[in-house]
Amino acid sequence: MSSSTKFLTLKTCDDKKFVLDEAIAVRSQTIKNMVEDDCVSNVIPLPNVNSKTMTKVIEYWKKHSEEGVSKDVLMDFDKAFVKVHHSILHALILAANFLNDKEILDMMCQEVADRIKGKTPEEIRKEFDIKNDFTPEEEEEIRKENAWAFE
Amino acid sequence: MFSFLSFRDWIYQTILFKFLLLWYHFIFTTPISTTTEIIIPNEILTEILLRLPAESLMRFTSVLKSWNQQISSPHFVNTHLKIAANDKKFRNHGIIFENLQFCRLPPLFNKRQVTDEELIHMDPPNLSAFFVGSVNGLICLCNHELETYIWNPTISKSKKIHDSPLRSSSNTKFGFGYDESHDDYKALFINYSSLCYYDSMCNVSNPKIVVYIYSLRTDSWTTVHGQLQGNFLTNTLGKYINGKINWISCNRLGIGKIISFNTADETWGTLELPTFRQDNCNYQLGVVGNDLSLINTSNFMDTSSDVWIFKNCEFWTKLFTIEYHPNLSHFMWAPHLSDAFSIQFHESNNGDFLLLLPPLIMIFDGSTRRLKHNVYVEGSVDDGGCDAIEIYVESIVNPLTIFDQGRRIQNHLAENSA
Repeated sequence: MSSSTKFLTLKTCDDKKFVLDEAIAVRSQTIKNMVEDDCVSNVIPLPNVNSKTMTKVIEYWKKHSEEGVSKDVLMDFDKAFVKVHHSILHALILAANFLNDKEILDMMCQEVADRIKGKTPEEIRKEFDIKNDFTPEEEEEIRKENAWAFE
Repeated sequence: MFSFLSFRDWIYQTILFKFLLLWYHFIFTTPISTTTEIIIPNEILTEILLRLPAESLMRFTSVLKSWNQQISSPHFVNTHLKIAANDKKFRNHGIIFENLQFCRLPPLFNKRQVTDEELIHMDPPNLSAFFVGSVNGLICLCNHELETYIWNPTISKSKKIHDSPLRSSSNTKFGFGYDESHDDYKALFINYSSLCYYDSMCNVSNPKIVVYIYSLRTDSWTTVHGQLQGNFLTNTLGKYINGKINWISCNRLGIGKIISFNTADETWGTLELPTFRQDNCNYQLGVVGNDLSLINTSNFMDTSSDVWIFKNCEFWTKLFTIEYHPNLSHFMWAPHLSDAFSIQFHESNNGDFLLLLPPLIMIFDGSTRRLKHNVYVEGSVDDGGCDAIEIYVESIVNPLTIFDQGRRIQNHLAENSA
């Protein structure tokens, strides 16, 4: 490791600290902006991210920062990375949104999309805790318009 | 007595405090196990919806009023389209065949044969109509009576074009493209008068050329005379790329160049071809990824061809040379002049790529650029296999909405001026 390597300490909402190479941490646009604006003291607080989620994010950042790692290896890594429980998936989305890491955010949103694409409108309402605001007539009308999509 | 009471109060308070503390821990620190308890911000929900296939989106219009509004909004439709078109996993990509069937792209990379059952029938609005062009998930169809349709097979919506000034001609060239600045779709019909002829050397007599341009948003036709004189477009179907519909053209001396129609300002432009190794060679127009491209074969019976791209719309550069079996030589030397080729790179498999050179689908090795295998598609005319014509990306662009928006704006303008 070169002598110029700088380290940052990230502190999650549950008070766990992660020491990380600055070059890796700036994959987060939020952290990058803080570093560039020189408003980084010793510790960067991440009030919206817990340690469990941050561990996953750092695992991703490190793998994708490895030198000489092949495209196929990364694809297999990503495939395994998104295979997590709903709650972790959603926590990762919120973390990626806060950290402003578009790569992770895109990948996770795609994973949610892939998981819900085959569902019915009723199942979607349950999934996202949505209350139907159509009258039965309105819903019937809109379904008729795209009847083929319900086949 | 007093001291006993206060002691009792103290005990009560302590118990109550501990009880409250327990509740606090239970409510605020227990890991959340069901999805319904996490609230996803609206902007992220939009990001998720943008990554859904067209079919799911159409079904989800009935989830909530606001979802229906969002999914129908022009901004959403166009963003969804961009994400789908740039998806490296080709979730929304497929190949269209001449008989208007559709087959998904990803499985083709590891396949030598596609059976009839794997093809999806697209249910066109007119059974005798043939393919004229495709852009952004819309397909332009035309039949021999010159009835024209703009159709999105993914969402089963089509617009029949009325008041066509088209005249039947023995020689018509077609084009279909997108005008991003006006969010409009344009169909071009270039009629050469029947006096026109061209021989094998592309010598052209002086034909009368009439260009008919249809705009979906304004639902109107423009007829232009006197353009393109001295040029003969060799491919029947123009290839739309980055705001322009392109054709290969020959002049009287047989010298080729690319003629392009700018869909936004409706002007014509020319582009010189790169300097090939040999003068008397053959070339075919197409697209690699999102760049205008050419495949150039030097000699009849060659087993290799050069692939050129017009990088960043600025300069020609030779991308690589592909190698194939001698029994494909005659295809590469004299491909179907009506259709453009298309190259799509696979995300993994060492960058293997698919070359669609109508009517053939070929898979090439990413590192050696040698032909790995052809994909044969069953269920066809004369058992020769289905003829592949174009790469297609599914979208939720609704031709009726574009037309309707245009009509409302025009009505609004008319009311204001009155």
